[in-house]
Amino acid sequence: MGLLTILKKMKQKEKEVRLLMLGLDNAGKTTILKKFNGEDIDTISPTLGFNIKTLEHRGFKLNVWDVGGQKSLRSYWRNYFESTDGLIWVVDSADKRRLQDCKQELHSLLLEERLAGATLLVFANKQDLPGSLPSEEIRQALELDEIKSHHWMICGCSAVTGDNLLLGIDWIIDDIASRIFTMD
Amino acid sequence: MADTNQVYGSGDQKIPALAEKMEKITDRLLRREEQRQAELEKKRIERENASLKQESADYFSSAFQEARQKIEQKMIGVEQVTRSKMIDYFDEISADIQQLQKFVSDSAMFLPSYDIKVAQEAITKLQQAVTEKRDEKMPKKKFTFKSRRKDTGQSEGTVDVDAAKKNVSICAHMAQVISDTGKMECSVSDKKAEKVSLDETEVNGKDVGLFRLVDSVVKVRGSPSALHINSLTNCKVFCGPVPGSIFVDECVNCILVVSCQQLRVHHTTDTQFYLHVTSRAIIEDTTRVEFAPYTWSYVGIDQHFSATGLERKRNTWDDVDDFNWLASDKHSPNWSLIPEKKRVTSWDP
Repeated sequence: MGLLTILKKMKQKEKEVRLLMLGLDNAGKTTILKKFNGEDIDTISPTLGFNIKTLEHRGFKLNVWDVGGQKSLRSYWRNYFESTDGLIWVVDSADKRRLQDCKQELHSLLLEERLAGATLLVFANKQDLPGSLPSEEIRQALELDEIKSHHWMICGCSAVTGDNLLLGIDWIIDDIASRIFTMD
Repeated sequence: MADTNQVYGSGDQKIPALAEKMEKITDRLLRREEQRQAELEKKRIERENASLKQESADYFSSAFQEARQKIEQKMIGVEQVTRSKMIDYFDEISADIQQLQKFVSDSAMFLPSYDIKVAQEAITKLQQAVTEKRDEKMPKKKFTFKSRRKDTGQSEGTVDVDAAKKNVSICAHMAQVISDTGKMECSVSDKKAEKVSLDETEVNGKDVGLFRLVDSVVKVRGSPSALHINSLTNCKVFCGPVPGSIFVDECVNCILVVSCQQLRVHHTTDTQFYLHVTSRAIIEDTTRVEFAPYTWSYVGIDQHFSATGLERKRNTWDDVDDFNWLASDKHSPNWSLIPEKKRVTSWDP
């Protein structure tokens, strides 16, 4: 993020934060977004394209971009990188088969220049499923400790029950705010 | 300045006259000040209006259209560009598109989501068009690679590496498939020409997997929490209501009679679905699949439906999203509906 962008942000009276939510298909990105926003989650189908939601939370205006994770859509992810303050990476903790895939996609995102300044929150989703891996194992599987270029945190959660969603979102907002809005 | 001069000039006059004059001057000064303020205010309003205009949707759409037309014209201009300058020319176009993308992202705060969606689609289309054009004008090195392979030993090495890679990936894939079976709480795998029946005590609330079956028939009279169907050939699968997702991968020439909340189909061909789905079915890397409404029934199915909470009234079996077909104005060639006359209505022999 350039100096100009920071200045622009400081000037804005409303504290706006742009969050980009990515992850493999069936990770639960849309469900997290809808659950957080208090919407019905029973009729969600795989996202063809993207969803944008603007939420008010703790005096911040969150622009959340939820982009479909199907293989054929991943090449479009880069269209959404610009001016992203925070990246939320959602993992299906029960999908052990594709953790390797998941790791690769995440690490290639982190090399992206336009995401260089963004804070990273990893949601180890679907903790409510009996076969899911705990967040500690996801952390190892995704080699998160290798990440030195971004502020990051991993948080086990369940979009279906809503567990820990708030915790994660609060953390990412705090981290972004401490970088961007310090001058207020 | 003129006022001050006058004040000095009036120094030798009588005091009442002086006071009168002073008053006049103060008056005038005040008026001037007011005028100046008014002028300033006017300018401020003008400025504000201008910046508002910059943030209005109208301004956005006209600026967007202009930029888009510019890019499209450049695309047409490609025909006149010489080969040597081609790369730079395409880079320039890509840069333009990126700039446009940035413009859209920056404007996203004040635009209605529909406008953003439309703009985003337009950009995607542009990008696709550019990629196509680039491929057409500057084909990837396919041809040179072939001709070189014949005369240098080095490139033969690359071929070997490719083959080795392929082997590795196949191995990895096999390992994946094997680990698949391990994680399932209930699974049927590696069978040929068999009839398998599972009942509610075996499957209810569990992840059920069907792997690598050939010429077989599987009947699941119960409601698994999720169903994974991988690598089936010439099979028929029947399953009761699944409150979660059904994943279908690498199936050929099958008939799947299933009901679920979500259906995700990958790498599948020549397969028929008799489907009950309450959200939307999706297909990816899949061709020649056909859909019809769910027609299977067994003793106890009503109970299973009500226990899972799967809505019986809502069935969007005919509304399929194809992730390889993003055009909304044309129907995907990869899937179709089974004509009513050809649908099977009764399955039990």
